[in-house]
Amino acid sequence: MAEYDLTVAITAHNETLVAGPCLLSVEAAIEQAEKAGFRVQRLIGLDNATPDADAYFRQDKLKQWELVEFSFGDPFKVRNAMVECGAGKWIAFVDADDMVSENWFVKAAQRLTEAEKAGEKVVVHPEMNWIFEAHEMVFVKPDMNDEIFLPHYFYFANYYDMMAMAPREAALQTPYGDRDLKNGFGYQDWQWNIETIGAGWRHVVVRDTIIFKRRRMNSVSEQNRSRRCLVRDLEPMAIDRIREFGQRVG
Amino acid sequence: MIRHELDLLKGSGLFDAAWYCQEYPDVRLLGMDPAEHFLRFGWLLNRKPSKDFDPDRVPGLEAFLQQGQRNPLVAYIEQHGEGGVLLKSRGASNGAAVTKPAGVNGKHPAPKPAPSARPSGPRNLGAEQADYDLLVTEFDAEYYVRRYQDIARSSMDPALHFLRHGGFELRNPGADFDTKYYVNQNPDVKDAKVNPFLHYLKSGRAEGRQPTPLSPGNPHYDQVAGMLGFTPSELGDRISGRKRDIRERLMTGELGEMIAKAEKLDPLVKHVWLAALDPGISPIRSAGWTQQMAALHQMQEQAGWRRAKVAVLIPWVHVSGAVRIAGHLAMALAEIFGPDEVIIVQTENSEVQFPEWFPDGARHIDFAAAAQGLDGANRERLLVEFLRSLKLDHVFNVNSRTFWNALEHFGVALSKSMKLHSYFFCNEKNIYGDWVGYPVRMYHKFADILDSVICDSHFLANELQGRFLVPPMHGDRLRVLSTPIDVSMEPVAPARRPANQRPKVFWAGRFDRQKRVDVAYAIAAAMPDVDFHFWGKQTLDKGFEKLKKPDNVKLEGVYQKFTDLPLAECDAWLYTAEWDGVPNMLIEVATAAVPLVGSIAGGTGEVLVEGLSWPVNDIEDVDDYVAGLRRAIENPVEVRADALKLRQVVQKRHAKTAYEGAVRALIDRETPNG
Repeated sequence: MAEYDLTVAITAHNETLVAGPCLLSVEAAIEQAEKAGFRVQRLIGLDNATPDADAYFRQDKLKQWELVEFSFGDPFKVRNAMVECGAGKWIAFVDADDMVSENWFVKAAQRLTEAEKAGEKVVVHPEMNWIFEAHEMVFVKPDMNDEIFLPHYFYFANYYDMMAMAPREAALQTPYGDRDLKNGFGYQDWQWNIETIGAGWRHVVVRDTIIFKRRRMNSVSEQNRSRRCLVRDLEPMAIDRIREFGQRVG
Repeated sequence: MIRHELDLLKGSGLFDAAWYCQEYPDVRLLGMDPAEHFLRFGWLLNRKPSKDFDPDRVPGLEAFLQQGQRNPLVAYIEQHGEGGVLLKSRGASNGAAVTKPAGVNGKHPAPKPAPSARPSGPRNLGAEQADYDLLVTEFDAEYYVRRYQDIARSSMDPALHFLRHGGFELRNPGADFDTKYYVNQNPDVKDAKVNPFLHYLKSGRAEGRQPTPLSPGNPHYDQVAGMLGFTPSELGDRISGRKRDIRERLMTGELGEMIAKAEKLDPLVKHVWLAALDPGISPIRSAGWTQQMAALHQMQEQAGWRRAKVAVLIPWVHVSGAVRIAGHLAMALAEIFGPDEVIIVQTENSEVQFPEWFPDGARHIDFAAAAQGLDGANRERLLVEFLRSLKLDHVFNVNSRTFWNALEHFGVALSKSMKLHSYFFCNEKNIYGDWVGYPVRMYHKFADILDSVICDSHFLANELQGRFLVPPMHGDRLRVLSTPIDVSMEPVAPARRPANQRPKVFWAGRFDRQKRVDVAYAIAAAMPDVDFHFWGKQTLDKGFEKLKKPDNVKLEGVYQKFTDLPLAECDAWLYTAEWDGVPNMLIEVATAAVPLVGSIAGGTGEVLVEGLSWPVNDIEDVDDYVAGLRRAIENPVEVRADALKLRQVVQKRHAKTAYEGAVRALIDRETPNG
């Protein structure tokens, strides 16, 4: 039996004060999960942390968080490494500048518990993306078995971002791909979603849960956009497979 | 907002903060002082200050309403003082009937019917009354007040503002109606100078007019509906229903509660509230993505949902030497891979004038039609995703502009999925005499990611090698493929005409600057005893129209096939061009063994061989052309013998089998790419 049900993994590089609302929201959400009986591991991954960020995350107020240092220069490699060192049977990633709704961890954990009981291979996402700061936008995502789920959307946009709670097994089986901006490839979260679906995992959303994504001008997603990156060329997106993409899952 | 107003309201007994928060949960979620909310927004949204407040029972209130007071209720309290309290008790004792909700979106009603603070809007609007009453059935006052701050600051009923001004100022009455779009799409509405939303409610909706760019009636939206197995209206209903559901949960449910809690941690969260009134519902979130999905699906359908080994990208299929060569290339590829493995993608327009140029059984994709209206970036991305979905081994570009543009951002990534090859043809001169064309603009930028660079002439290959100091590792990628000819064409017998019949010289080409029709006319004018037959039509510019056609020139129009020409009557072929590659037509003339007189430009010297034809080095040296033509006319036997030798040279160099072999060598070449 795993020591923890859930590892909450926050990745940081140069974030300092902007991580304050993130950490407060995550703590509030962890509190709800713990109240519901879930055991939660708190893990912060510092990747090539700037001196300011390093000092910020080592402050006493955060002493309940385990710190792990990396020097990848790639947030997705950090996530892969955090899966390796995480002790929870599920893992939930949060960027250090984003926020989560208070009900996210508890509802997602409940959904994964149901999936476990039913023997389903499920990855869970918040229902709503609430984009704020540099851009303002709100959108909701469909479940893969939703009647409006359309595989072709994955050619041009990512239904689900990296903000997921997944069984550790899924993350070990399908690690995030390498960032390769030099060759025009980015969006490893998008790639991961396609690859996990291809591997038989069903992505679902949990009603009334939200990720608050702080859009900053120099964020990774902005870098991907400005560089006009592509997600890698993936077999499940082939012309003779796309119509069935995700249909055989779950 | 002045403190005085807040104090007046709170002290009047007319405002019940607890009831107000309970009745309008968004107030609590927004974290505002309830009385301030009422004064700033609630009044404008027709909300009641307390459960028992009945505006119908407030004598004289209507007068304040019509006077345009900042807040008629506050003005009323100011004037009546304690009377406000008395009125409240009187209202309560009389049962305080809840008035009909107004100012909510009837089509997408607000989550909970809101008791109104006022009668259902103004009642003395005269001729406007009927329009007002119709408008408020679907007008989204919450959205209007949130979106337009000047309305929030004003004292005016939002619906009345929209009726009188907002609609004409192209403001939106709610998230589901884009006034500017509606007016732009419907010139009759603009001309009629009516409120566009009212027009939609009265007749536009029944006529099937679209309220927003992304709604049923948009062909791409409708296509996506079909992809999902719905009719457009079924999908429309589902999307609208989800938006209503989200809004309701934001206003009254757990979703809204989560926003309120997050806002306490970072107030920036609440700045997004307006966007939340019109949430995106994936996958129907943007016009661009919707068209891209529809277009990609359409092209994949055309491709039969099957992979392919190779794609040939062309701009169009009309009179064009480059596209003719693309046909030869496609034929060779069909021989190598089988026709079904070859995909022809037509990127710039849908015209197909010569389908016979391409192999039977190859799949033809009309990208130009599918992508019509897409802007540059979305268009390029569409092409890239389509090509990637085919899981191609090779793609050959033959003058597709969209493909070149796509390489700018996606070329490196694309080169990791498939081998990229591109043809280059001669540069051209613009009207200023400057060299333009893909070799000038694209070669140096993309040669690194191209597996092969194909030129149709040694002249161009040498020019590129010289200009860019191409190193050996690149030199191997730079190939010259001699365009194949139809070797079955027999040599034409020498012209046999009676002594009294005038000699004939043929000329063919586009009537444009490149082909120097002016020089050809000058030659004809210098040989009045000879008839000149011209085939072709004007294409790029209109300079030709100003030229005076000599009397001995006969314009024959466009020919479909070279072999349709009456070559047996031809004494000599005249070719004029200021710049060129190795034009197909010259190859065909040489293969037919028709005596050739032509200008040396770019690659034409690879056909206009000295001693076997009459090359002219100075494009404007009319006397030199005339000398060559006179020789051909006066010495038919000798000149025809030279032409037959030239035919042999050309047949060998431009043999179909040699071309196929060269294409196969490109395909088979091992490269470190990929």
